[in-house]
Amino acid sequence: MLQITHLTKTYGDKKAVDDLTLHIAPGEIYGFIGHNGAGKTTTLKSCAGILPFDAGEIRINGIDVSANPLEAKRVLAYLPDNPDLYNFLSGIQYLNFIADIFGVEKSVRAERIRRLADSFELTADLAQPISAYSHGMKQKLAMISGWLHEPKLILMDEPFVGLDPKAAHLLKEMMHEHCDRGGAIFFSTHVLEVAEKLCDKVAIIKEGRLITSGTMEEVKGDASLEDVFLELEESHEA
Amino acid sequence: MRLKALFRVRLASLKSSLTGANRSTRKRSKAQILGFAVLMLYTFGYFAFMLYTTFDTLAGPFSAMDLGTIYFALAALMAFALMFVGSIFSAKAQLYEATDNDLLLSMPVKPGEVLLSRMLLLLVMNLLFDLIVAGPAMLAWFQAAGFSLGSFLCSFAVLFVLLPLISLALSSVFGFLLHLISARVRNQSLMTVVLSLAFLAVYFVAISRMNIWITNLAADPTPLAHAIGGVAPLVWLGRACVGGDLLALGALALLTAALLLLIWVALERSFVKTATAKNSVAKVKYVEKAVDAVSPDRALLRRELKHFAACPSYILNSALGVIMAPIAAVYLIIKRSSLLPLMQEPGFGFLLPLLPLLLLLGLCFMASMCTVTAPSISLEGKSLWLLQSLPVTPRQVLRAKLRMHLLIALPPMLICSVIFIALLRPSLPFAVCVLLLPAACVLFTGLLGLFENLRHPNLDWINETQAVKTGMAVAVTMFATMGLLMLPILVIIFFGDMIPPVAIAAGLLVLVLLLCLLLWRWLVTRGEERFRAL
Repeated sequence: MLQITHLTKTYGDKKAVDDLTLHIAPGEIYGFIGHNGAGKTTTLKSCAGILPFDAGEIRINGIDVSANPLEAKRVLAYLPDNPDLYNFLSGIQYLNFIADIFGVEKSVRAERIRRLADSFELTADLAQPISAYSHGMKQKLAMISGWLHEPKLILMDEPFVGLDPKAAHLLKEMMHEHCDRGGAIFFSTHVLEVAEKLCDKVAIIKEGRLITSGTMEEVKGDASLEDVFLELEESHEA
Repeated sequence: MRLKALFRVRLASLKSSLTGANRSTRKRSKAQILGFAVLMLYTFGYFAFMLYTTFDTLAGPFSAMDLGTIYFALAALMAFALMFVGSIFSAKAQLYEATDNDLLLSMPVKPGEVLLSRMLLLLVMNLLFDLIVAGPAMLAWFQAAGFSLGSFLCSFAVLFVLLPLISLALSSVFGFLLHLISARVRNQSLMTVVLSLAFLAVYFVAISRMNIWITNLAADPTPLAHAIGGVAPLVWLGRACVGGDLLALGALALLTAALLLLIWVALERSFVKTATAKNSVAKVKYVEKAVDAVSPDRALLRRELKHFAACPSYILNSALGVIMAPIAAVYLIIKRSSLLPLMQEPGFGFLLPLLPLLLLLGLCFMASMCTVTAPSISLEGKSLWLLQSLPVTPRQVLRAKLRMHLLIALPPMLICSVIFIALLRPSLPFAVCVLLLPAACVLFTGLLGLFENLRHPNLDWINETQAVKTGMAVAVTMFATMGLLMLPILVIIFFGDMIPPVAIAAGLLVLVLLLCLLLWRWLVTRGEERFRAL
């Protein structure tokens, strides 16, 4: 579903991502772990077609992101860590805007908005302007908009930050359902317990370079993911 | 120390929006900053010179009749009006609607220090406005009445210290009231636009009648002297400025200090509550309705129009030409009978054959004041990631912004053109120019606005007003279009008797269309790349 091959992205002289290769198959929930500034957001933004990169290739469902950005974007959803949405729109106007851009049929979008907004308990607030939403409500609205066009690949940057426990639980369920239907999820997180319980596979990145990746069992063995992460970080510092 | 740091942050924010030192663009070169400074100085100098000529007319007669007190009271009232109107909406935005209020209030900083740092910036703004009026007023007076150090020092203290402080106090309190009202009104955008237009209407009436008032005043200042003589603080102000009356200066200083203290205590006590209050507008309950599914292009256009309608400063700063165009058309209808005889008067007669062309250029001038696209990319701000991650091309985004500009600006311009043709009944070729030239100017400002905003974006603003008001793209777009319209004026001056007006209009039309073509070529090639790289 997502093939990142030898991805390199530099900002000036600094290599934010250095020769990163990762393959994410349909049905997989793939966690992306690393310290602050390790290159997680840059990788996710490159996959979403937001950031142009210097070398390598990114393919989404076989589509080259650089060569066919529009086709690639049609099958993915990207949810950033800080959902800066359009404050001048109401929640429902925002969802309709996203549905229009992705060409979601009228009847289909109405049913999906109803179902997703009810699940996140946001229905009553949909007529409110987004400027009146709390951070968590914006996060929920961004989640609904991400699922609205039923993308094949969902890219999420720290999706659990700001969500209340109920919404976080619902999100985990939705992630599983999405992957059960053949979709894939690639997300970054600092919450290692969540990654340990939720992910099929995990990749650890440091200073733009991949330290390790694989199934959860391959990466952590009998230890906890937290212990493995800290150990790997230290060993690469030495 | 903390206050200094807070004030520095405010200045840095202002500086970054002026010099483009933000993440979205390379830092401006020294030449660009110098160019911008020259442009600002020119604008400042232009208004200061206009006011100097006004005060120069008044200073002689007032000095001769020993009415210096009244002269300075009048100058102070004019300076106060400009400072107050110029800073009231900034006071609302800077004091209570800055997005870093929460951050600063979470720090070990007294709320009063946050408030004071913001008020200091407002004071700087007030001083700049003050300088435009009070500077020429003092210069004209001392030229007419003779220089005396005592009088100069006292008038300086009154006009450049006390008066800006009075304006600061009152604009802060009115900013507070506006914030309170807008937090309780559902359609804040409409309310702000209506209020601002009311201010503007008063301003334009004052400006249009200024000449008559000044002439009448110069001929007979006694009615004004009687009116002002009844207001003690104005008399103290005048006495302090003219005769260096220290008692009057002290009384005025005490009054200013009392006003400032009173307002400071009230604002400082309520600052945290006001700055952190949520809108108390009743919640709108969502009721599911059938919606139209539209194409991505239409959805982008709708989004642009909603953004425009939701941002009063965007409407007022970018669409003033549109608001003025129908007013100008109605004015033309009303004044038609008096305009033509005026042009036939001795000394103006030579203008009669040029009247249609001059009016047409006036129409184009109004089109140049509609700069809807110029801040439109900056206004994406931190939400830019959305457009970049959605399956839409930069061209679609830029086209939606241009369409919004055309939708807003073209209809009023076309209405004006039709009224123009109906009233003046020009020849068919000239009528074609009347229809096409303002429309071409609208297209040109739209394209130039996008071009400039792609070259000078500011995505790191704290509030939208900052993106709209202090963006370099807006100023450059407006002045560049006005500069273009100076070309036919130069042609009229140097070759007016050789080239017929219709040829000048047609030549300008061809030039504008050619420039539009070049701008469009740039936008769909390098412009798209720039948008991707933002």
